[in-house]
Amino acid sequence: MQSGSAGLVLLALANCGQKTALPPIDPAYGFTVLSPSQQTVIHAVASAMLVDAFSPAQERAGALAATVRGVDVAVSRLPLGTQAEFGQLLQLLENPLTRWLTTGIGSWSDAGDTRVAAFLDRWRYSRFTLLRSGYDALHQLVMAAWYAQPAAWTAIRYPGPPNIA
Amino acid sequence: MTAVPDPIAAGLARGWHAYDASRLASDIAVDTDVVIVGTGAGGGTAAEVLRKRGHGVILVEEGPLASSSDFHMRESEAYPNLYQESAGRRTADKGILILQGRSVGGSTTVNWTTSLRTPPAVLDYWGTHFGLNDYSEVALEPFFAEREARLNVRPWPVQNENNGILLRGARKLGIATSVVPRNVKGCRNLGYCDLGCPVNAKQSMLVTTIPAALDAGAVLYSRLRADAFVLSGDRVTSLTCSAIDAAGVRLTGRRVTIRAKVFVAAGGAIGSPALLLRSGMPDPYGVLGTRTFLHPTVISAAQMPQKVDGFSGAPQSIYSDHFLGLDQPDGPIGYKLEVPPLHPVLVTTSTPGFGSDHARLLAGFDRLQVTIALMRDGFRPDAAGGTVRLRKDGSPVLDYAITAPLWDGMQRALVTMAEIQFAAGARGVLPLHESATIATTLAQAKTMIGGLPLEILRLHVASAHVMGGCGMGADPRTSVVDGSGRHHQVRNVYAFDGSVFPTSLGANPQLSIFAIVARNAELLARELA
Repeated sequence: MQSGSAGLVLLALANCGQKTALPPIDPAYGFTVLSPSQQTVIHAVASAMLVDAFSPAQERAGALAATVRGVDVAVSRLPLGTQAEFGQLLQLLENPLTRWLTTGIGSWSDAGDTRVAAFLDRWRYSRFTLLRSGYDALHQLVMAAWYAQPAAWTAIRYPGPPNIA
Repeated sequence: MTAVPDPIAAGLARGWHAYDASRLASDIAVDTDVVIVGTGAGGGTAAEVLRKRGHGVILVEEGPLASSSDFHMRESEAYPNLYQESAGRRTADKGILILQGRSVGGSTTVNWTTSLRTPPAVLDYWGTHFGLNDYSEVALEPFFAEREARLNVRPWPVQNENNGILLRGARKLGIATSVVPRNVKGCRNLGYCDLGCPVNAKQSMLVTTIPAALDAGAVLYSRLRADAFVLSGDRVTSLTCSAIDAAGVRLTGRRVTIRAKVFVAAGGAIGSPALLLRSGMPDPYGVLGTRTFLHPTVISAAQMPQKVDGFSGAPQSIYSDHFLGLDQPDGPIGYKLEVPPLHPVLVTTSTPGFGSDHARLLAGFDRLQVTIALMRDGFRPDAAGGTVRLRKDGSPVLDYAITAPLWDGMQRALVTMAEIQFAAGARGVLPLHESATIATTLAQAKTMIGGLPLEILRLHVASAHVMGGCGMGADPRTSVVDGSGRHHQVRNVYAFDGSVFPTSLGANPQLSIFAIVARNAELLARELA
């Protein structure tokens, strides 16, 4: 019946007549995508990529932790297919054998910034597009996660958005 | 402290039929005259025209209904909320980064306000090669003029330093430049157009045609993805849709079915071809999704002695068509020169390298000038664009191979940009390529550029203009829709968006979409009457 189905439609829509609540970005909510092992990988990569990115006053451990959380938030908003692709990339880096084959690194905790930087360079200039795109994905996520944060802006002399009040 | 009035909040308070499908508690079925998929340049324009003529309109938008109160000028928010794939969409081989909008207003909500007419030489080319004889400069003039008036398009009289450097460097070399016309009203020259205009100055679809359509009784569902048209014989009878969650990532499981007389694909290039592919639309000559163009863009960064502060001021106020090459469209691929807004994430992710070198370069962020060169693809058989395909989950991916003439154009463009930047006083120039180093003289730059490997994921290539895939034309063997945007085989389906362009435009697309859709939506409205 016309009015019946219209009524059902109205009921269904009753709760919808507002703007979309855009999800909060505050990473204090805790990790939703990256497992502890994946967090370790991202932390090691971020540490090497952001060498010298922090200003002297900045507490390095805190800044890196914020970057890893930022990557988690960013990945959680990607299309599911892309999240799966990223998961495969991380799997490559978590698995001890494939990690050693593609990066030369035994364990992340022993690697240190110099060894991690060497593997990143290897991927960056690789003749395999798969590794170049893996490097690019890590570069994009790490740089975005750190430089989206206001804490990053002093070092690059960015004053932040203007006050429009 | 006076808050900026939010026209969307005001409209909702007035009783707009605007529904957030992420909150649907059950499946629904609705009826209308015309369903429009997409609320961007094409969808917004069409909705206002059709609603004004009294036709029932339902708009379907997979992005959120966001507005000025949400636009905090933060990249961390804008990219996931307002862009396709968090501003990380890439071509199939990952070689090209694609920026497209995903929210009510589409790419017009996040574009940089540049409003340029279709170059007459491109319209001529369409007439000659695609039988689009009604698309002359003279015939389209009234539509361009009307849309320019509707959206307050005017030349922007000032330049931020990022644009000023392009202007002065070009002038020194005798390279002609032009002033960018912008669709803005009450613009405060902030520079955050790409993150959503926080003061509603940008006359995007979000603050113009969509509110007009909604005020006139149109219905809008946001966070609703159009899955497929349902065909019955040679006509479409309904559109099936799936609701998306508030984060824009997962389907909620709720479905919406919309029955209508006419179905309009306005999901943009990539989006509209994907919808037609998922629908299994007849495609006897295999043209659907092909001839998708990108204006593939290469980038040159320059270190200036003076402060540039490229994050501030209208992002685009100067451009140059000096190298566009439209006098010989099928000759060597020409390019348009412009500059982009410079925000922290955009710049730091685009700048090659990491560690100390990267940090040192970025310490000079406030003195960086960046110039971009957009390749005019689609005018030669060996630069015939890419093809939209569907992944297993039904999502679209663009397969676009960069061919030799495009690499050649890109290499020439990098040299041109270095010349202009040094002429303007640059101390160092860095083409964005993984193997590039900072050149301190033009001779050094030229030698380096000549030796850079021209390969994907080495040379940085991006696109902010996606065009084609449901190309217009008189001949069904080489086009998907006719000159009025009507599908050649299924006569109650239309494409009203940038997917109809038979070639790239050599110009930023929004005004071309506004004018062509205004024309075609008017034709449709009269036919339906």
